[in-house]
Amino acid sequence: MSYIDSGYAVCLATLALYAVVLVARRRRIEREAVGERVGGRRRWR
Amino acid sequence: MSMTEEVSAVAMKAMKDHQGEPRPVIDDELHRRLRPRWVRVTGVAGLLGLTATVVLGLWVTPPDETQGNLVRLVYLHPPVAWVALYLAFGLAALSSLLYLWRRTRSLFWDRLAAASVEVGVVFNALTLATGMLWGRPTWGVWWTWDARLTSTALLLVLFLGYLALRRVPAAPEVRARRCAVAAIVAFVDVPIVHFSVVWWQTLHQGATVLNPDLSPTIHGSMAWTLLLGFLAMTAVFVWMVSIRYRIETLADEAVTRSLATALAERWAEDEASGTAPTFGLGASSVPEEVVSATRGDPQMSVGEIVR
Repeated sequence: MSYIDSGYAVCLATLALYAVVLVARRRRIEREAVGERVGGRRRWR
Repeated sequence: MSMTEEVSAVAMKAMKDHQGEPRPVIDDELHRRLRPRWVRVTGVAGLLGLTATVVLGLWVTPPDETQGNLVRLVYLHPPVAWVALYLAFGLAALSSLLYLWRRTRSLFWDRLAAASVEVGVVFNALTLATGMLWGRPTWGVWWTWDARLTSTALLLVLFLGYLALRRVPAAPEVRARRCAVAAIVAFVDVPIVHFSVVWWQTLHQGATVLNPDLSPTIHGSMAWTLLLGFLAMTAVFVWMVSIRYRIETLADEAVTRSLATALAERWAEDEASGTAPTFGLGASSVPEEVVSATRGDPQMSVGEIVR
């Protein structure tokens, strides 16, 4: 793997991983603090 | 157990209902306000922009006359650095200033600064990583104590310190004030990073776009690809900060509102039983201001109650 490929892989993989972590954290806090709607009804976990 | 720990424990308990299940503390209105439509649009724009940058950068643009194919890393490295130094840390410093200024003081600015710094630290680390991967084949070394590299590494350490400072337990207003000062102090390093290639004889090349003459030294498809990289990374940054801001706000509001509810409930219980509220501390330990502060004000912030 060349330095160029490594640079793109490191950059894109890090951004993708951080984005996934952010979305997971947001979903978790929303589930705990806001609750979520499932099938039109609200449930808390 | 200290007063702060006591109220935190009460707040945590209040987040569970009688069956031990979490119960809602954030209303639909706040939740809706934290989910504007433009966030999703920005995320999609960032994803498409990044994909186009990668395709153009790796397969469409020509190799550079002097750098050869290594120029392809330039379509990532400066945009990532732009986000970290100027957007993320700039926004953090500006938000911190607005928090410290009495007329605009609001926890909104503190949360925005916190969100911006966390995203900025990720981009700052990527700036160093992509720079090292470009520097190894170009300079022959992974790292050198060059003024630009050293000041950028120092910036990462400074803002990691900011994130550590946010984890020190304190009332929200106290934490916001001390973090705002820290962000402004850390931001002093940003102009040093920017002008390091002008002030000192460095191994790192001078600015390609934001040079002193403001005349970019890159043209044609290479310039357009670089511009697209800047726009795409900016969109990704805006999306990430908005998600991170939402997490910060929900967490803060959840603790604040559940704490206010718990204190009101405890007050009601104690009032019904005809005793003074003690919050588990013993009657003499609870200051009169705390007792009176919890009466009938469910919107009171944790900081106001604890203080």
